[in-house]
Amino acid sequence: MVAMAWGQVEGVRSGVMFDAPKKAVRVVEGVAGAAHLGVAILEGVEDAWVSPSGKAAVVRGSGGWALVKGLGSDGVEERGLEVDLERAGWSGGGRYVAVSGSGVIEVWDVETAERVARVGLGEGREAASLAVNDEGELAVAWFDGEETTLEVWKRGNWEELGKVKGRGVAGVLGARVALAGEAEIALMEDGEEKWRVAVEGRGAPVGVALERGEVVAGYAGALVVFPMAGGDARVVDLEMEADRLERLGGGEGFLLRARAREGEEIWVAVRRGSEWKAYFVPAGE
Amino acid sequence: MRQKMKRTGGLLAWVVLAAGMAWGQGILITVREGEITRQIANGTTVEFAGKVGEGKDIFVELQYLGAFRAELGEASLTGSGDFRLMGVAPTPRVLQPREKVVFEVRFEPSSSKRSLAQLGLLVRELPPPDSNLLPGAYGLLSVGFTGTAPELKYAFVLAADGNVQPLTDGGLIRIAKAPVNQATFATVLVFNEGTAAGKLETVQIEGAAELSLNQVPLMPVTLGAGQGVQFRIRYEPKDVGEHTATLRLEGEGRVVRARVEGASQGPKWAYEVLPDLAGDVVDRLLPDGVVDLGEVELGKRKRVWVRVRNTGNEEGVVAGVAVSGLGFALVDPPLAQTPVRVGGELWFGVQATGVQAGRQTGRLRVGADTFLLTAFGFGPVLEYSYQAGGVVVLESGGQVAVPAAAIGQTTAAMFMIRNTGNRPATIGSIGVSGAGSPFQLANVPPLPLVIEPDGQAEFRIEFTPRLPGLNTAVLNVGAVFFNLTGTAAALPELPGYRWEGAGGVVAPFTQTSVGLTLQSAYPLPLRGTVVMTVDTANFGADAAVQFSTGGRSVSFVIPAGQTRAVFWNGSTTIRLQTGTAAGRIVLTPSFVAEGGIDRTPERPVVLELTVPEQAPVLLAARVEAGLTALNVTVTGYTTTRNLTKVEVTVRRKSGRTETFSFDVAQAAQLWFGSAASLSTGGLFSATVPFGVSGTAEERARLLADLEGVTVRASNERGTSAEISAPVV
Repeated sequence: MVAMAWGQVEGVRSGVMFDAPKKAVRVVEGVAGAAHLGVAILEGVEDAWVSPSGKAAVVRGSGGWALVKGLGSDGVEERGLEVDLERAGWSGGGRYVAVSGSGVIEVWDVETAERVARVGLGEGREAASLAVNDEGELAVAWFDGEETTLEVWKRGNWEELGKVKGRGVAGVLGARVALAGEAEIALMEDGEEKWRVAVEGRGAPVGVALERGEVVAGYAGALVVFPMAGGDARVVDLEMEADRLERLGGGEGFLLRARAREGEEIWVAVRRGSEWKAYFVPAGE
Repeated sequence: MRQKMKRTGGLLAWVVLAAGMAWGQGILITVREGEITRQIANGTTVEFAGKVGEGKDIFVELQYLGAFRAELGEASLTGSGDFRLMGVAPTPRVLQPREKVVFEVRFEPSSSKRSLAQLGLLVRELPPPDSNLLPGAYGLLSVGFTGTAPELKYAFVLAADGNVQPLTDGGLIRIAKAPVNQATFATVLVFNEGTAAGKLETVQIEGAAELSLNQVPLMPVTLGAGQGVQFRIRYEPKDVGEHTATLRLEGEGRVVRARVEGASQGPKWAYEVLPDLAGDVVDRLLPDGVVDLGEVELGKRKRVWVRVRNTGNEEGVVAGVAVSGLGFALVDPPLAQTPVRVGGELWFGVQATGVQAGRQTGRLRVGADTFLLTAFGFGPVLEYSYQAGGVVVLESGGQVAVPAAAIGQTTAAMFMIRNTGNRPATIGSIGVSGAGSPFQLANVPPLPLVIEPDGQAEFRIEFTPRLPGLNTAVLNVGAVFFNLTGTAAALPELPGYRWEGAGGVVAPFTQTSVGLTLQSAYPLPLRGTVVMTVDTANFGADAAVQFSTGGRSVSFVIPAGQTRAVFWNGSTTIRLQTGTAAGRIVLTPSFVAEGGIDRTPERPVVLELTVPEQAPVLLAARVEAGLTALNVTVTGYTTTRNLTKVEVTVRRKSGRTETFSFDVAQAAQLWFGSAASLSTGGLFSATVPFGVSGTAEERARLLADLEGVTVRASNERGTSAEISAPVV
C-alpha cells in the first residue's frame, strides 16, 4: 500500500422528492435532521412517484402521465404512459415500476423503458397497493371492503398468497412479500407464509416495505418494525400523522408525509444506527 | 187734528147754539164714527179716513138743548159723491128740548183722493106754542166732511237695469241671468199713494229656497200718505236652472201676489269617478260627496280618475284642483284657471298611497266644490324600536346605539319589531352586514319570521368590540336597515409573553420545538408571525435552519381569551431545525389584533437559540475498495464550517492497524467558502482516496486483508468520535 491523495470535501444530498406546491421534483439537501428541500431537478410536474434510485419517476405533466428517467442528469428521457395513473409502486432498486389506472396494471422496465406486463384489474376489484420486485414480479393487495387479498402475478395468472382483515398494503423484496393489514402483518416467502403477527388498534397501514432485513409497516401514528426472520416488533411512535410509506427517492429511508400545499410539513423516516427516526424536512421559503 | 180731537174730547158738554138762534139756546152737534164720538161746533169740517171701495157709516146727531123747540129744515148733503145720506132724512122736524135727530152718512171713497162734502140745513127756535114769542131767525147748521183713503202701490226694481216697474197682483218679477253661487237682488217698493195712512201687514215669499226676502222691516208697517218702504228679494242659485216663488204682500186688506222667477246662468259641474280612463263610471259625485278609493295595500298606490263635466249653460273656469290628506295626491291635475266650455270636460287622477292601516281620509277640492276622500289601508305596519335602557322608536335608516363596551366585552340591546298593521308581516332575513362584525345577533326567531297584527318579535344585538373607538355595522331586517353603533375604549396593551420549549444553547443537528404563551389572556384574537433570523458565526447561514412548515417565518393565532399561540400547523408548538452551523438563531414575534392594529411591544421578547461551535460529528462512513484504489467517504458536520484533519485508521484482519492523517483544511476551506456549501450548513462529505500499489497479487492480498476503517475528523474545536466502516 499506500499512496495518499488530498481528500475532497463536498456537500450532502440525501434524496429527491416530489413537492406539490412547487410542482417540481426537488433535491433533499443535507441529511435528515438537518435537511431541507433544495433545487428542482424536474419542474412543471403535477404529480409524481419518484423511484428509490432518485433517477427515475412516473410523473404527470401537461401531456399526461409519463415515465421519466435520467433525473439529475443532462439526459432526461421520457416515455408516455397510456394509463391514467392512480397508483404506482417501485421496486426496491428502482428497476421496475408497477402502475395502475384505466382498469389495468402495468409493469414497466425503467432501464429499457418497455412495458413488461399488462394485467386487467378485473371488475369491482380495487388494487389497494402495488408492489414489484427488482425482477419485475408483481404483487397486488386487493381490497374488497372487508379484507385484503395478496396476489402475485406469475406466468400469466394471479396466485393468492394470503389475506389480512381490513385494508392492507403489500411490499416486496426479492421472493419475500409482506402484507400488512389493520390487524395483522404477514410475511410470505416463495409463496409460503412465514409468519403472521397481530397489530391491533393502529388503523389501516399506509405502506409496508422490506428493508435491510426488516419489515417496516407504516401506520398513521407509528412505524412497526419486524425482523424479517420473525420476532418481536419494535414500535416507533411518530409525532405526526404519516399518510404514506414510500422509499425516499435517491436516498435512504422512507417518505412518510409529503406536502400538498405551502405550510404543510414533510416528514421522512431514516435509520440512525439501529433505530428508525422520523424527521421533518423543511421545504424552504 | 189730533190736538183738536183732544180738545173736542175734553168738552163733551160743550153746547153750541145754532148761529141763527135768536136766543142763546143751541143745537148740540155730535159726530159719531164707529166708536169715536165727537161733538163739534156748527160749521166744523170733520175728516174721515176710509178705504177705497169700502163704505163707512158716519152718524151726525143734532140735539136741541134749548128750552122751547127747534125747527130743523130739510137737510141737504152736497159735495163729493163719496158721501151720501143713507135712509130717510129725519128732517124737517121740530125738536123738543133734549130731543135729537140723527143723520146717517155713508162715506165710501171711490179713490184715494181727498173728497169734500157738507151736510147743511136751516134751523130756528120756535117759541112755546102758547107764547107770543116769535120764532127765531133761521140759521144754517152745517157739518163739513173731508174724506181720505190710503192706496198702497207696489213696484220693483231689478239690479240689472234699475228701472222701476209696477207690481200688481198676479204680476211677475223675473230675475234673469243670475250667476250661480252669487246673490242677485230685486228691490220691491211699497208706497202709499193715498190721502190716508195705510198699513202694510205682511210680506212673504214661498217657493224655491234660492229666492228669499232681504231687509224686510218689522211688520206691520204703517205708511203715511206719500210714504214708502222697500225690501229686497235675494236670488242665490246653487246651480244652473229656473227657480220660482210667490211673493205675497198684504196691505190695507188687500193681498197682492206676484210670481218671482229666477233664472241662473253659468257653468254647472258634474263629477264622475272612474277606475281607469277607459272604464265605466262607478260613481257620480255631488259636491261634498265621498270619493272612496277602497282598499289600498300599505306602501302601494291606487288611483281613480275624476271626470269634471260642464253641464251648465255658460263656459266655466275650474280655478284649481287640490288635495289634502296623508297619502293622497293628484295625478295629472289641470292647470289653474282652466276654462271648460259648455259640454266640455276635464280629467285628473286621485291617488291614494297606503300609509297607515285602517281608514285614511283626505279632501279634494275642485274649484269651489269639495269632496271627501277615503281609502282603507291594509297590510302590515312594522314599528321598530330597541331597548338599551329606555325604549327608542326607530325609523328605517335610524341608529341603534348599543351601550359602549370594553374591547372583548359584550353589551347588548334588545331589538323589537311590532306589527301595528292589519295583515301579517313576513320578514325573510335578519342579519348584520359584514363578516367579523363586532355586532352579533342572538335569539333571532326562526326565519322567515311571521308577525301577526299586534304581534311582536324581538332579538338581541350583542356588541363585542374588537376595535377601539366607534364601531359601526348595518342591521338588515327584511328590506329595511338600521345603523348599528357602539363605542369601545382603546385596545389594552399586549400582556407579557414567554417562550416555551427550547432556549439558550441548543445542540446542532436537532429538531426541536418552541411555543409562545401570553401571561394572561387577551380579549381579542391575535394574529402574529414568528420571524427567524440566523446569525452565523462563520461564513454563510445554514439554509437548513427553518421551521418545520418551511422557511423562516411562521404565522400563529391566539384565540380571544386564550394564551397559547396556535401555529400554522395547528399545534401550540412549532418545530424548527437547528442546522449544522454554529450561530445564533433568533425568533422574534409580532402581534396584530383584529383590524390590523399592531400590538407588538416596542421591544419584543425574542428567543435566542445558540448553536455552539464544537468538534466535528461524523454520521456515516463508507469504504469502497478497488484493485487500485480505496476510497473512504465520511459524512458528518462541523459547526465551525471548517475541518483541519481527517484521520483514517485502516484495520487489517491480521490485527495490524495503520493510521493516516490527512490535512483537509484547504479542501474544507474551499468547500465551506463556496456558495454551494450554504445550502448544507456544516454538513460535509469528505472522501479520502488511497492508492494501492504493487503487483496484482500483492494488491489482492492486501485488499483481502483489509477489515475496515475507522475515521476521525478534527476542526479547531476538537476531534470527533470515531466512526467505523467495513470494507465492502
